[in-house]
Amino acid sequence: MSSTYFISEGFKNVFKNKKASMASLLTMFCAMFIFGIVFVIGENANSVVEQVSSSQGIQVFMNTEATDEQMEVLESSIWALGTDKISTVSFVSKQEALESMKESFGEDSQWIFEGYEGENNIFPVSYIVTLTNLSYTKEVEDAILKMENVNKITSSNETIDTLIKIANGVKIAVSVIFVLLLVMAVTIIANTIKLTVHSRRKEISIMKYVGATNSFIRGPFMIEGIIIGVVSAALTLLGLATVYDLVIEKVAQSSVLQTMGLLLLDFSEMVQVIGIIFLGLGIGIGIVGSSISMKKYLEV
Amino acid sequence: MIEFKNVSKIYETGTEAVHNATFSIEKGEFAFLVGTSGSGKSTLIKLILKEEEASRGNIIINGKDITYLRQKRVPYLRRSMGVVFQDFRLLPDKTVYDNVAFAMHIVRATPKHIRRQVPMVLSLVGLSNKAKMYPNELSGGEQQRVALARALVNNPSMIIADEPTRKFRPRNSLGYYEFIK
Repeated sequence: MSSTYFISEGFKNVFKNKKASMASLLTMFCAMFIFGIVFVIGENANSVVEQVSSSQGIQVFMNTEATDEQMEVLESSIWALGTDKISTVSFVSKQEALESMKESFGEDSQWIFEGYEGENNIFPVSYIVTLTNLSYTKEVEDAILKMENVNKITSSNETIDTLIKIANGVKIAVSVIFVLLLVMAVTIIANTIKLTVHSRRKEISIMKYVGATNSFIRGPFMIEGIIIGVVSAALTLLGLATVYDLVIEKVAQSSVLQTMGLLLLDFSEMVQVIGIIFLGLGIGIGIVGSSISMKKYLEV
Repeated sequence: MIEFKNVSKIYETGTEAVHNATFSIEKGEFAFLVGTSGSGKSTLIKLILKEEEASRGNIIINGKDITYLRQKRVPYLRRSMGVVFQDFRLLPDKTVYDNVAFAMHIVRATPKHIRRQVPMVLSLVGLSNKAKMYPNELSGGEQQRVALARALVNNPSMIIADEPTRKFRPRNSLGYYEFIK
């Protein structure tokens, strides 16, 4: 019974204190919107790193005199490093290496390779090893170099290192901004609710004198906080989706991303996670904010 | 019903508002507490409501010593009494009906019970036709009757009134006490 009373009182309070409700709503919207922007940037950075890691492999060149059995041994030795580190190991034959080189030179320069077909193919056989996570690069490279019949290996170390650094930096930035915005939002919401509670302190004291328990008094205020939280979460999600779609359209057309063949995330891929975070934040901030601000007035 | 045993109340400022009070009020008794302004009448009521703690002595309400009553239990103590305050303490943004119903919501009465009980109490105090009005639309006497209706609505075992007729002429005050009796 009291839950119906709490809900109806909570709704009444939201509309009765329009200014305070709007102030809380705007604060939460701004805080969650900024967090949302940082979050989608972080998610995209991670996605780019993942895409690069899957395309960037370590190329392991074999000694030219290596036999088929020795090649098979090498392949199984690479796999033996662990499937938690190794994602794929693919064999590149002499012919495939030549074709790949031809492709990279373009139609007009095919004459260069005329003398290298068949018996005269000078390209060595190799394995392309991709990793589950770029942070294993150094460790895997060192292990492969110690294996038999390996001539040399190549990998884009610098690119990989930079990407890992960027990804880690973004992760740290997202966490720091998240904590800062959370503290900011809770403080502002608590103060806004405190203003509402202060203006209604008479009502609260009357409730206490008539025999209301603290939880009974707190109920409608919490519902009020939750309503504001849920509404601002929904509005932020809508706002973020609109802005993201507009921006992504422009960014996706940028030549850098297109030449690298990188794709940015679609908002629908993140909407569930963001939705849950926003809803959790909205409800959490609403409850924590109202509890903090009411404490003083309940001691009658 | 209400028993004070050597109760004293000394405020932090050093003022002794109640000195060694000992008395008892039995069920069905109609007791008046008379005294000059500042003699400690309101403090005594605050002690009964456990809004203030006694510095010395024991207060027994309905057979229970409330001296060491835990803060959590205070709301339940207050529910056993109907209180009419000097300034009535009505909620300005609630109608007469809601001001009375609000006391029933607090004790978690069912909506059906509230719908039945509130109109009955309002008719008892003669305010049936003012149920939809707000406190500021009522006269002082009518506001006081709303406060009385709120005090009565949960059928408390005792009614405590702190100078409820302060703003009235003696003739009207007499009518009020007759009504309560």
